Amino acid sequence: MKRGIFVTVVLAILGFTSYFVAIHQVQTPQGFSLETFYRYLGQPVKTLDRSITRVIGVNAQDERELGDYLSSNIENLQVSGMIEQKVYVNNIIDQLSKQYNPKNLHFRVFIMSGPANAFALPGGIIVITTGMLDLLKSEAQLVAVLSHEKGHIDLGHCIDYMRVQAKTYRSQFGAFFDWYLNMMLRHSFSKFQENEADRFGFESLLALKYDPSSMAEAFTLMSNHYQQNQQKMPHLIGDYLSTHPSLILRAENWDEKAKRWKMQHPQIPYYVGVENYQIKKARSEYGYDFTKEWHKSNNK
Amino acid sequence: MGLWSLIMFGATVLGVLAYFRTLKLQKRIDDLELLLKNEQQHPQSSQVPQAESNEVSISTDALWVADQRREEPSSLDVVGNTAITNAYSSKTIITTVIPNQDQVQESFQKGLHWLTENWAGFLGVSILVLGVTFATVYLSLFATPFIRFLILISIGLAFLVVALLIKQNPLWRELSAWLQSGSGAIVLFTVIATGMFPALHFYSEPMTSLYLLFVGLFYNLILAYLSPKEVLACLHVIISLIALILVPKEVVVFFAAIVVTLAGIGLSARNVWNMNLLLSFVAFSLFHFVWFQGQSAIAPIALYGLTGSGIVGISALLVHYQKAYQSEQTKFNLFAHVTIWLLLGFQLQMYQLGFAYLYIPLGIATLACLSLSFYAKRKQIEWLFVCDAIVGLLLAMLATLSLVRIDFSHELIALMAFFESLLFATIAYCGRQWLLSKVGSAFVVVSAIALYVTMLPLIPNSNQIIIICLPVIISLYATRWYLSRKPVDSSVHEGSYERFFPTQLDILTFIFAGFILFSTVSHYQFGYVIFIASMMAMVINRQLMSQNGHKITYLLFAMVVTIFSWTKLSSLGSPVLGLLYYGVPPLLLGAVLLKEKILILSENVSIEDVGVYFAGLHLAIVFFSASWPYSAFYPGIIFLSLGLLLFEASLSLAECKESPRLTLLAASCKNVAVLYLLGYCALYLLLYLQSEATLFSFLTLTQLLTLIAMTISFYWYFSKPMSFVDREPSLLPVSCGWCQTISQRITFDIGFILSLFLLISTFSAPIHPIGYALIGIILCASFSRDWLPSRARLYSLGLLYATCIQVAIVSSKWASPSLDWYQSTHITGPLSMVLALMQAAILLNEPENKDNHLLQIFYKKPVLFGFLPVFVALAMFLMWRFDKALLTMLWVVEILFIVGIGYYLKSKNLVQIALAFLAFCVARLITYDLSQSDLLVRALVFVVVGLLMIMIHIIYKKYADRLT
Repeated sequence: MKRGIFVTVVLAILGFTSYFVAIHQVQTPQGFSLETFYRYLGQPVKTLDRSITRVIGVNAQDERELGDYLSSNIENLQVSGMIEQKVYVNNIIDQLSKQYNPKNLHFRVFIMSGPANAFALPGGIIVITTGMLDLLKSEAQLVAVLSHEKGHIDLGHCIDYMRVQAKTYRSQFGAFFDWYLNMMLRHSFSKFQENEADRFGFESLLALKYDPSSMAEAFTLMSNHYQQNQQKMPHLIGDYLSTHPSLILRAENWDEKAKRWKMQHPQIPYYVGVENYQIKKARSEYGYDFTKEWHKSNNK
Repeated sequence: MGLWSLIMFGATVLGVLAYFRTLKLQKRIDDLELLLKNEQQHPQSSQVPQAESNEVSISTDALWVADQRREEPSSLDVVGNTAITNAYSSKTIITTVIPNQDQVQESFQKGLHWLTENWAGFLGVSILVLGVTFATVYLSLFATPFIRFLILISIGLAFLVVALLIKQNPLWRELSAWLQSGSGAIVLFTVIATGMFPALHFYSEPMTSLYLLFVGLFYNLILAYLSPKEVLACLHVIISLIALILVPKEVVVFFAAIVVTLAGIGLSARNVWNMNLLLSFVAFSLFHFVWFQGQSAIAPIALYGLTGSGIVGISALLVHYQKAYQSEQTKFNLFAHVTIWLLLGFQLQMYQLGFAYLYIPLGIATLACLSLSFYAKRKQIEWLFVCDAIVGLLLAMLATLSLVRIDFSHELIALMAFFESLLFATIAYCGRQWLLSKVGSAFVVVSAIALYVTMLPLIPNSNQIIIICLPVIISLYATRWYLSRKPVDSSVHEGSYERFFPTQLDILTFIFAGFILFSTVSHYQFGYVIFIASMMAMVINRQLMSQNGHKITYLLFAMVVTIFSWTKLSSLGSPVLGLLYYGVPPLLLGAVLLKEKILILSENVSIEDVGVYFAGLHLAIVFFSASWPYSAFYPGIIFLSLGLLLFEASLSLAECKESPRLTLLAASCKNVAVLYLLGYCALYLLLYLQSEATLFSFLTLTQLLTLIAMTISFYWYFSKPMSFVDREPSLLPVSCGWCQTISQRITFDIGFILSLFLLISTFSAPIHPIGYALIGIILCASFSRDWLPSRARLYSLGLLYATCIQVAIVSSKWASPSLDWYQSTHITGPLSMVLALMQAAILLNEPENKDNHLLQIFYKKPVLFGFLPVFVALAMFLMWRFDKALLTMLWVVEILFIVGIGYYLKSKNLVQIALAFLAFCVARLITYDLSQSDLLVRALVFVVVGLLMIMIHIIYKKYADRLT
């Protein structure tokens, strides 16, 4: 009898789940892939190899000094003009650093010309390209991108790769800078680190009351821009070696998480900031907090 | 000049002959002397009893056998031979039984003695050879072609004269025969050389050469006729044919060769000379081939060639058959038989003129051959019967193939060849002629392959395929049915040909059925359903189905048909239609097989479990294919549902204890259920893990499914396992053991792994160590000891280490802008450490587990292996979170704690490690913190550290005796 009840209950739940899937036409973000599996499996491994480099003690002060040095060099590579944009992105990063800055770093954003991209350097340096600024549509999306890069810095992903150089750069200024910049242009963080930075960005959006869906929107825009192919077969080695997780997968995941947050917090408003982004003026603290940009999930 | 040369040459020849004669006599005298000497030294040696030495017996017998081949020897020969035999026997004894240095010395002395006795003869021969050499050089330089011709002919004739002179003496009889053969060769090649080399070309008329050739040939044939030995007669014939190869390839030469060969065959007919017959025919075939190659066109000579080959071949065969019916040399006769037939066939085949009705002569030859075969059977000459039957089959095949000349299609010819082979193999099988049946079955396979290949271009036209395949299948199936009605000889070993041939027919039946399957399914909407219905109808034939060979082949084909259906599931556009057309029919077939008990091979052997596994796989694939287009989540849901139902079915079947069949089905159902669960796990890793699809605000779809899978796993694990204790051993199928032991046990591991993945994928990193520790505590808690497997403790230990690693490496560098408490590692880190300490303490109190080697290692030093990792993780956590002097202070607090624990647990190692760590902290305090910290902090830290060290000292002093 007990067995019968158990089986009936489980089958009923499975039946309900099937009904739900049918009604909402739920699909997985992409086909068969081992990417996510490796992301979970690789977490301890990747963390361990980072930890090994930590025997070289680099404290926040060292990282700050490195950031100052890098910013003085990267200043010359920035696009000329675009003053309004430069002020705007730095105002945004100021907002983020005021909310959370455990290492007390001086965060700066530099704009360089190029296709849609953004990357972070140790010591609080973030570089965003003109292509990325053209691609994004709202301030919330810009916050998502910048907070993702800020996450790489706060989580120590950047400094972990260059602890030795961080200690020795003073003796080889020019060579070090060239090496580092080249490496950053080519280098990618691991899937696990990217996921960590995504999570950091998402939490930053929530903490600053920006639209949590903007993270997924930014990924969707990038995915469309790069026209990633969704259909693929699982590959034991290829899936392990791939650095960035698929943009489609990331977009779907963070969109669902945003949905859940909105379901859990229907009364909490969030800011989108399309207009802010168009006029390149940061919100409230700088006097450009538009009422119509605030939304609630139950109103939407 | 010429006369002088002739005399000189004759003298040389006579000198050589005289010398050899002298040598022979000298040898015999030596042997006799040696014999007398041995007689004097060892009077008993000539009477050595045969039983005393095998060596002697063998040697003597060998000589005696050799002597028997000769004609009756004279009395002198008998004495001489006996002497030689005895001497040889004595030597053999000495050589084999008493090998010593005396033998070497004796040989040396014998050689010396021979030289002293024969020095004159040796010198004479040397001078003679020089003389012959000089004479040859002289002749070649100064004689005319005719003289040279005469000299060579004289040599040849001289050989003949000498041979005739010495022929009467039995001792020289063999030499005489060889000299006679040499004479024939010299004469024949001399007359051929007159036409080829200017040095011997003495005539101007071309016909002279031909006449001379005929004379030479005639001379050789006469000599062959006169030869007492087969080998010599054969040599004359072969020499004649070789000579004919050298001359121009005219038709008259071919006829000459025919005459020569017929003469050779005639000699074989006169005596029992099989070797002569064979070699003559082989030589003729070789000649014929060379002669044929020398022709510029085939058509003008075809008639001659075919006629000549026919005359010679048939003559050879007639003589051969005549001998075969008389002789008992089976092996050689068989070889000669096959060779003659093959060479005749080869020669006839050379004249390919496109004769449209070739099948008529070939058919006649087939009939003749088969008639000869039956005649041989009647005469009880087994090898000839078999051989002719095979040749007949070959000819029949050739006749069939030749039908292509009257525009028969390839597939029809292949079909006819197939029927012929099948008929032949079946008749031979029924007549228990295994060799013939094997040959026939080989032809069946070859012709079946040919038929298959010829049908490939017809694939677009399914009707033709069906028309061709249907008679094949019907004939095969009918033959198989007919064979099944014949009782199998129980004495025949399993796997022998008697069992193989019917199985071969089964395999062929199903291969052709596969062709029909492909054709019908590709071109008819209900083809697959009809095909499955036909297969169900085949089950009704109980006579055939009672044979395991047929049954297994049928089942394999059923598997292939089912696998084929998987490829067609999505071919109809609609997944539901695909399910109905291609998913359901194999299940119905499976049900029929189960009901008719086709999967039970014998009383003790049942493969019904294999059927259940395969049906399970089929269901999985069918449902996957049908549901996948709608959502990737459906296959997982279906797997879980089916697994659950199958598991319940297994439990119900297991309750019927009186039937081994139901027990087996219960076990296999349970295994399939677990396989479905594993299938869900695979989908989870490859698909569902990547999805965050929301079901409720607090739950994703993946989380819900994983929770269900986890619950099912543990539910299965804790379900009552199938017990075989209370059952009769005869009611237990063989495969129940491993089924039972593996499948249900691993459900615990599946549930455990799923719970870990659920934890990792649901919560953020700071929560992970708390989760690990909690799961670890549950796994090693005393209340779970009785109902969890022993490896649960090992998993718990692994989770303890995972907690430590997570806290030490991952949580320590965690950063989050979120203000939620569970995102702060300042809270989760210490909490995890507390839980880890609890877990280590519980593990410490566990009874020692002797089943697991890893746990045995752990329990050698449980305090060290359990608590130390926690303290190391805590130290590392502090190191990443704090800096400078504050870190040192916190470390010293931790050391204080470790020392306290060490004394409490009476672990000397732990205390020692803690004190070593303390020394490191003091060194760091002095060398590093002193320079890095502010004055106030420095003072504060030093005070605190000092106090802590005093406390450690007090504890150490107070409880030192606890460690000893």
